[in-house]
Amino acid sequence: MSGERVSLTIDGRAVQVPPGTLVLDAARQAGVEIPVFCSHDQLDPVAVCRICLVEVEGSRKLVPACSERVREGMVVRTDTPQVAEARKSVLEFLLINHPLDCPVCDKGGECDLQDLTYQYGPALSRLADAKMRKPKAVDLGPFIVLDEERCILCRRCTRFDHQVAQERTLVVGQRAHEALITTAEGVPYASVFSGNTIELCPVGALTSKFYRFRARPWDLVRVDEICHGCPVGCHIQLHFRANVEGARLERVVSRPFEPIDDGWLCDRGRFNYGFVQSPERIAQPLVRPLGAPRGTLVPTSWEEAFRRVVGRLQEVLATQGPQGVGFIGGGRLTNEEAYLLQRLARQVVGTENVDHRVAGEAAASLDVAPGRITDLDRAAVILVVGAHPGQSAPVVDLRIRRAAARQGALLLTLGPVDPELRVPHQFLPAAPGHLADRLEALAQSLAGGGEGVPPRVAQELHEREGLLVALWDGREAAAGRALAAFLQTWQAQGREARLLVVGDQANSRGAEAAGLRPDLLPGYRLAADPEARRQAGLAPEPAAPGLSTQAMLEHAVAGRLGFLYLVGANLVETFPDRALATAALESEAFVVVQDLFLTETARLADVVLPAAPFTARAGHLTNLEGRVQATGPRSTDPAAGLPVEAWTDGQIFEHLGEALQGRPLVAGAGELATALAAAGLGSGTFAGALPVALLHEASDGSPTPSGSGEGLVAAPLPTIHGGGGTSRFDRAYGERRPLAAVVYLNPEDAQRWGVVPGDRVGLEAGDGVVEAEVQVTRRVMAGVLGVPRGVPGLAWNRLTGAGRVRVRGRLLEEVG
Amino acid sequence: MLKELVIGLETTLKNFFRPKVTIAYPEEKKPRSERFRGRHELRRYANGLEMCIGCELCQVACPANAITVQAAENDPANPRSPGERYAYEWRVDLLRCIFCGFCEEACPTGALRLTQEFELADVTRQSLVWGREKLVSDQRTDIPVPEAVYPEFRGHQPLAVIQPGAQGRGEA
Amino acid sequence: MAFEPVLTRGIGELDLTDLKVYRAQGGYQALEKALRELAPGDVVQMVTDSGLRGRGGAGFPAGKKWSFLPDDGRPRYLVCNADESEPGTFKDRLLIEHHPHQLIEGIVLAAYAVQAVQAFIYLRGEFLEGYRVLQRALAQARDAGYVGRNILGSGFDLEIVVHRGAGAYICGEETGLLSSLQGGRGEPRLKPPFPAVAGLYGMPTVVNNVETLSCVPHIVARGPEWFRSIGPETSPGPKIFSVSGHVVRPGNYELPMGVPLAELIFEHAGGLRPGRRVKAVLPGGGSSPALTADHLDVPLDFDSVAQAGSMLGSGAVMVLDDTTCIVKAAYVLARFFAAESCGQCTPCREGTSWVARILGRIEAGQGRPEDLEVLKSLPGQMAGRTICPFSDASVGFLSSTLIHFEDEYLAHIERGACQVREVRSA
Repeated sequence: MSGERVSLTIDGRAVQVPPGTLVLDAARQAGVEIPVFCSHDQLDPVAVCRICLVEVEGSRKLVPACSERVREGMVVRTDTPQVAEARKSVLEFLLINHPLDCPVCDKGGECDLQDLTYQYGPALSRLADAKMRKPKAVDLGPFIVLDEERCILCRRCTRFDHQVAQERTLVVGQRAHEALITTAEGVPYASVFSGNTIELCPVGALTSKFYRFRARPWDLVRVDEICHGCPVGCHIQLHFRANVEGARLERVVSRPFEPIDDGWLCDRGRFNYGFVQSPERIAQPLVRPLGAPRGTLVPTSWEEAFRRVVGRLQEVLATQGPQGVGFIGGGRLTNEEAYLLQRLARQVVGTENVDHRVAGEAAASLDVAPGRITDLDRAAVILVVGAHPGQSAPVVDLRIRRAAARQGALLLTLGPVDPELRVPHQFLPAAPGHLADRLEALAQSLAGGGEGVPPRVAQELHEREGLLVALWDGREAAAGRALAAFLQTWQAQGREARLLVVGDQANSRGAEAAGLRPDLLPGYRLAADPEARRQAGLAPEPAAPGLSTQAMLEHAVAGRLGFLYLVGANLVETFPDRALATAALESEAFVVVQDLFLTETARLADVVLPAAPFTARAGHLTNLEGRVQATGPRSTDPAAGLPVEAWTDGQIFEHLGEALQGRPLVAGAGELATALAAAGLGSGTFAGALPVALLHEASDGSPTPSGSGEGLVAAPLPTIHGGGGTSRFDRAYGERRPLAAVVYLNPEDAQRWGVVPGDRVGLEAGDGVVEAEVQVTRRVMAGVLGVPRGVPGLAWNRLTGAGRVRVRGRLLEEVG
Repeated sequence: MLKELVIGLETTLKNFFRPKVTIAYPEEKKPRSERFRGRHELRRYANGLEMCIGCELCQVACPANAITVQAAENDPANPRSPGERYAYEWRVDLLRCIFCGFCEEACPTGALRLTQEFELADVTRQSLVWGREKLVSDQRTDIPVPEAVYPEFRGHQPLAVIQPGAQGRGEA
Repeated sequence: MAFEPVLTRGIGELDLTDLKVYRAQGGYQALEKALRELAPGDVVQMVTDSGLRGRGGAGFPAGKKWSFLPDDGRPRYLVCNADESEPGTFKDRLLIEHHPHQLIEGIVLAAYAVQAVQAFIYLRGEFLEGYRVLQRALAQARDAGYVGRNILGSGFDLEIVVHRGAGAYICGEETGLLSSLQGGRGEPRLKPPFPAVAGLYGMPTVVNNVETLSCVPHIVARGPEWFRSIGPETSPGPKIFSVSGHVVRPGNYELPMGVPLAELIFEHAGGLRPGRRVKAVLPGGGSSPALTADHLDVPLDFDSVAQAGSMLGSGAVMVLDDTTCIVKAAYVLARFFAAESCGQCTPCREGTSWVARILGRIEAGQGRPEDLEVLKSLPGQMAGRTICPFSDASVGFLSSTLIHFEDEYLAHIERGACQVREVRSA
């Protein structure tokens, strides 16, 4: 089948293509350029713009190349006067009502209509009448301005919304020459993927509010990057402009890479870039003056800050030994930086207390049936366990939507809260802490048993042949083990299975592989393995077993850990037990925080070191499928125009290492690259994965309330536009996507607690009351309170930290 | 010898009564040709709005990289120019400028003119980087705003305005 | 031999909307015969043999259309196109409002022939009376066992749903109709795939016009040979002509295919008002190119009219006498098409409105000499370059009158006034 070829001639050039190929693509292969507006690789052909008309021998009329499939012996001509006339004619039609306001339009300079008019269009307009007037500067959605006059109605945007996003919000309204782009019911176009329509638009009808009038395409310096927003690792391009305000990052565009993103980006990745040049960034190192209470910070020099850090570290080492020192690095670090941090801890300081898990997750990968993102394209069954791909890995969610809506994959979700998936699926509720039970039942159903599994699901699972792709959020260790067993049962039945762990932070998987875990050395070698330790240049026996994030915090509270070093880790906001995190930070321990912003955590530190954003560094990131991708090249810190003296995280580690041991942390870039390659993190390769045996309950940082007392169990939900760092300190972005302090209740529970949607309630947990607005939805299973993470003003981790949550009726002020 | 002296004086006297060829600069200024290209000026429409929309075409046309333009969105309540866009900054480094006039030619709105003014000496480099505050003319021209090109900008319109029913169907 | 009306027989004399009256006239006998004696394929064969060509406008052989359905086990649908919206056409309305059972019988027969699981009548939204009549007739037919489960004990099931359109001309185009019926915008789809392969909900679908389906019971009852004997060899059968415009007796006239234009206008429709001459005739409604007084001997069948440079379409004959301003007529039609384009394809969306704007200006006496050049080039830029034939149809009248009546356009442009005023005042 794959060998079959159809031969045809295009402008006299013979070409062979697979059957079913579009004439347009065949022409491209033959090196013949055919102009298009409406046609797009990722969208079904509609053939409405009519610019691609070509002559086909034997056809009376001109034929649209974008929808016509090749036939054996077909003779296509694109170089005839008739075709040239047709193109010119279509451009004349498109331009009669087009405002021709190119000097104002943001698309000017990179506009298909402009380019094709230059190439094929008429030089003069024959229109003697007034142009059609349509609404301009329409507020289409949070990030998009729509100019209806510039629109040529190619429908790429509406087709994207229907076919790719499966959302059907954008529609064509009115008809004939009055037709325009609008949304059904006039609601704002607030899709998580709205930004893609800006790039799809071949003219300047859909433009970005942030980029509006900021630059011209020829002003921009373009730097290829990997998105740091989530673990998907979409390929992006950063566009900088050196203007009167200094170098600024003006926009982020996609850089299509089929194995990951198909050219699509989510709005978080596309629009949450303003933080890099935020005036709120920490401008220089800060220290807590001796004797001052926590929360008091004064600016200082880098030399002074390092003196304080090194001095205190040596004191603690002298009094408490290496076990009194802990390092916690968030998932924003590159592979290289994560490696350097664990090396600093293990080799220079001599402690095993390193961890990257700052949000209560158990693992960033699992070495059972490791999958790739593209596996979703051929999945027969997709099982989502605890994960919310639409929030934490949006571009992967697009593939799920496509697989379920267009390829007929069976979509099952399992967890306390049904993720918003936009496509038909079956929800299997499972209470927090009990996901494993549900997965075990599911595994039994494969063998014919399985109590509590809906018969229809059991039957479908029994009958579906082919690939099962599971997505797991990596949080409950027991669920991970049960899922591994389920996948093995599936495989034992001769069917293919794949697993993707949809983690929390951009580079959790890289940090894990680089050894930023107390029980692992780089390359997933056990920290307790003497041979591995010897090869890593460490003592054969660790002085003491390493501590996880939770254990480090507990030790700090108990006074047994006197030095805590946090890198890009806003524990107060991200750790599931806010009380513990706060207590640890307020303890006697000396706390160093390395971050871009004065986060809730940084405010409590003894020393704050300003870190540079991702734009200033080069290295590698490992995405959720383990793909090691180069980021950079190192471009620039756009805050250079501001009085900011930031160093990259890696530079700070190297400096600290040198200050402590008197020689560089690594001999050079060569040694670093060799060490990472040895850890399975060579550029372009796929990283290893965590052995199931290492899924420890102890490392499972999310305490689950046991027993069945009164009250609800809080289930944290990831929030795409929320978070502890970049989104919170990006004012423009935050204003466009305001986050409401909303919690979700099942209708049954709402009734039991006497609340109705929209009520403001007080939520009682261990340490006081959290206020929030209630929304009622069947997506949440009974007995569970869905609490979004990373929403300012909603301390989710006060609710997950301790016991069951009681809803304290409506608050009085809302009654009136 | 005397003869030479007389010849010399004769030349002197002849020239003494000839019309002067020098001018008393700076009191007097040499007439410049109509197409003389001096320093830049950004003009205004008859209603006082600036003609420049910050399109940056002058910047890209400039062979000496002397021009920097940064556009911004007009405040509908207090617009600087007709339409949506205006030049938030328009800056020329007169030391780099070669007065070729390409910028003037590139200007799609006719806002940019090179004036007759050429006396641009100063004592620092920085003072010869002129910004929009010096360049935007305080005179109005008699050119009306081309309404067809710049419909009145009323700010971002809510999506509801284009919903069927909210606005009557236009004339076919 | 005098022609005996077939489709319209009894209309005006009997209340054929009543099932009893219809049955008394021999109604539903063809259905009984087919369900008892004929296999579905036999019905297809009969219709094929009869030479029946689609009465909706394109004139495609109906039997051939039915035989295109792929035999792959997918459910099939039958859709009756009752979205009669061509300017000048009102024949389907007559059949729906006065002869609903004939249509229902035709639908059931056709559905039986193609083994459709469900039939739809896509009714023009403005036909409120027709909707009521159809609903009443359907209820009677259902009660009598002609529609519904196990029709006449044959084991054949068919339900008929009447769907009212929302007033878009383009929903008369079969793929536009299907999109609309599915709940989408009424926009024609790319062909191929044709509805026979991927129609309603992507399933094999037959779309037929009201008049076409109304012929089917008669073909089954009286046989294909009888049908073939009426009218010319290549387009046989009776045809209802909707005559409108400057004639003394406008209305629907059922005549054999191939009746000469002059006979229709002068014998049947009572000719023109005294002292008037035929200036132009649109033989197939607003979208057909105009014929002139020189074409009065053209026989009204699909092929002859096409040879004369126009098209028979749905048989809506619009007669314009010498008091008609051609420019104004063109402008009125152009405005209609500019408003009715679905807006998908560039040439149609932009072209129709441009044509209307130019004609409007010329008609208002503000034409420019260049306008004529633009007008002459636009039909070529629009026709044959879009998904559906709407674009072609929209310039049919314009391009034909630019040939036959160029002087009138010129006069408007040069003198800024209309030439026919003198004729009118004479």
